[in-house]
Amino acid sequence: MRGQHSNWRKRIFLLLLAILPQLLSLAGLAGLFWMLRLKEVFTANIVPQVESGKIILHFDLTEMDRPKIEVGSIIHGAFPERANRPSAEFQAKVIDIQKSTSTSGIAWKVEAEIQPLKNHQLILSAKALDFQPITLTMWSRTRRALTVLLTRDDYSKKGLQGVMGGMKMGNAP
Amino acid sequence: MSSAPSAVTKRPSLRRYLKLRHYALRYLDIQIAMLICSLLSGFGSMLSPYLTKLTFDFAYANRDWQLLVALAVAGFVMMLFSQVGSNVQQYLQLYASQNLTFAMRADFLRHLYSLPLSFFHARSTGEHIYRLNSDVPGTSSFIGGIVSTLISPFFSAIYPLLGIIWLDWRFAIVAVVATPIFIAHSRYFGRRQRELSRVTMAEGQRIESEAIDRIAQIKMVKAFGHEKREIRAYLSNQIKLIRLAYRSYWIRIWSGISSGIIDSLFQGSLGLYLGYRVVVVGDMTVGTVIALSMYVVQLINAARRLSGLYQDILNHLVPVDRVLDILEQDNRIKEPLNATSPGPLQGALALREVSFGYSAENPVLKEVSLEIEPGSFVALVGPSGIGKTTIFNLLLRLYDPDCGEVLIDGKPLKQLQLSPFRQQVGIVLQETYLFNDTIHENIRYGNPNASDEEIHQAARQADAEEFIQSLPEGYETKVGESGCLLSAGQRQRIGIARALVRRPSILLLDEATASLSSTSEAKILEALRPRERELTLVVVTHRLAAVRNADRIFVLHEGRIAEEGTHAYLLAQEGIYRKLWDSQFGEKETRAAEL
Repeated sequence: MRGQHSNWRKRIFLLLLAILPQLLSLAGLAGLFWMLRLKEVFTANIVPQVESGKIILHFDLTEMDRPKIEVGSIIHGAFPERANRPSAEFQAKVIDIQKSTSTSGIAWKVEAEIQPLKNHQLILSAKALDFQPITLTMWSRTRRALTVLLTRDDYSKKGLQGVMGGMKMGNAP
Repeated sequence: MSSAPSAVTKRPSLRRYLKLRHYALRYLDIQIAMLICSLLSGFGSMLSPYLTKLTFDFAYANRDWQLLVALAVAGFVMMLFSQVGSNVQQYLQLYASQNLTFAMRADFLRHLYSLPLSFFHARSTGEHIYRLNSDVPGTSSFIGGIVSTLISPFFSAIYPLLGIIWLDWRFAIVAVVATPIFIAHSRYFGRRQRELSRVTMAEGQRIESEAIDRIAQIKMVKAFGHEKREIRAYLSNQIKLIRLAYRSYWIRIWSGISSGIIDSLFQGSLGLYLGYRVVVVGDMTVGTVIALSMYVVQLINAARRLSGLYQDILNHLVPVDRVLDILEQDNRIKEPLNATSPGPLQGALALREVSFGYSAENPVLKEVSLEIEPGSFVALVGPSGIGKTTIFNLLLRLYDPDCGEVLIDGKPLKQLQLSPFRQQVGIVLQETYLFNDTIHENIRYGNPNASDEEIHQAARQADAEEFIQSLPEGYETKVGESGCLLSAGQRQRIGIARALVRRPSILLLDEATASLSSTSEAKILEALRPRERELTLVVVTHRLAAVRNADRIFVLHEGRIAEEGTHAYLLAQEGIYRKLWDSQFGEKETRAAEL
């Protein structure tokens, strides 16, 4: 009887050994990607405005890029070098997203506030651009890793040239 | 009729293999765990190319170093995951197959021992050893790993195919269309390789069997001065095996070369096309190209495994067939379900109109009837090959008669439980087989519970104690392989002692004293002569002088009992017995003895 018990114990142990580590690994990976904040790149025409000491970025977002930001998301970007002024990186917090009423294919209007407003060069860049539209590639982070990574992306359908600029594999900052 | 069983391996038949299903079902839980392992580790392998694609298309393209680290961790975990899954699967397979090997060996041996003697006569010892040592583990390994053999290759093909479909379904069509080329290649070389393996296996078994046989008969080899001839024969057989190994090597070489060419052509053209899609058309990412290439390689490898699967299974079925060949051998000597215990035997033996032959064409016994009283001393005499030993075989139920019946204490032998019956019967053959152990242990083999005193007493009765005590180590003397360190007469005496230590109710001596001197023979038979009806002694002998004191002598002639009676009565009959006696002692001596 003792032998039989130990045999059954061994068998149960073997079965657990066979299945549990693998299930745990899969669960661990799923957890890792669920926790991961994925960098999502999008391009938009922005219009910087200086309003009561704050720099507000206004830009339009396509339906495809809409899931990449939420109110409260931090957007990362950089004003391009211009008129002897060097490039200035910025971070902006999305403060408002409104459904657009326009019929030009732009689905969403976004407002984001640059912060923290300490970089003098940045303020100058923004002021220089006040009300002048500029096309920028920006990025934010979302927890959409599992959705994005496990969804057949547009790259394989449309190709990189249309989305990110061909063999250079994008112009992400 | 006791015809020799056929050794021909039957064609694969599912119904036949299902006879072994209880072995597979015994480890069903392990099989299911292996299946899950196979599913999961296959899934892990499938994810690797996709993770590579994500690394290129997301982590590098977006300069997302957090994602890069996560993907690197994921890749590492997947590698571990796949490795652990595969190792656990192997361990489970080992666990199941080792346990199955143990169980199957036990069943195989049990069945083998239950088979009639005719079965063993038709086959070599080496063949049984080969089946026990190679075919049984081969079978259990196949049954224990049936999941990995039959199902895993499908997963390993389906997973990369899913990956290809996921990335670009058009490539799945290309891959599926190209797969038959790889399958054809694998089948062609696989078939040749396996045919060669089969031949090599059969040759290996024949050579091993032959070598065992020759070494077992070393005395005869030496006596005939055939040592060099045997060495030459063995080496020439080994050269055949080496040639087969070279042929196998060349098949592998040609298979590798042709496989390399096909791979290069396929992967090269695929690479060119994918490059065109990336650079010129621009509708595909670098990550997708890499992942597709990895999936295609996985799919090709899986297709190769799948193409060889049928042949692989056939290959695995070779030992299974060989094991089934034995397990399916009908044991004609079966106890009925309602077999009765013989109880303590009185020792009355009878044959009633028994006919028997080892083959249908050559009947040995024809309607033989004889009665042996309990506690009597009976002799069976007659020329060689007349069926005296056959009567012993029937009395021990090593064979069943073709017609008629054998009775023990008035009960049909077929209705008795065999083991308790045989435990009460002692038999000594002309050729005494001794184990390579001490004299003490060889005698004790007759009765493992015998005390030292009982062993010594049996040795005394067999007129063996004197020579045993003259040996330097006495009863602890090792007798060598098959008792080769002893003379034939000494071996026979130990054989008789071994039979006596069982305290049998019936003792059968089959030319058991042929190698002894007449004096020793007479001494032993006198010592064995039943007293107080406690032992029925049946002796087969050519030396009529040894049995002239027998209570009854049966004379066999042309498969029948031609004469029976006491020595004096038979001599007076002037029949066959008289002729036999005269041929051994001369007519004058006989007359003188009669006077």
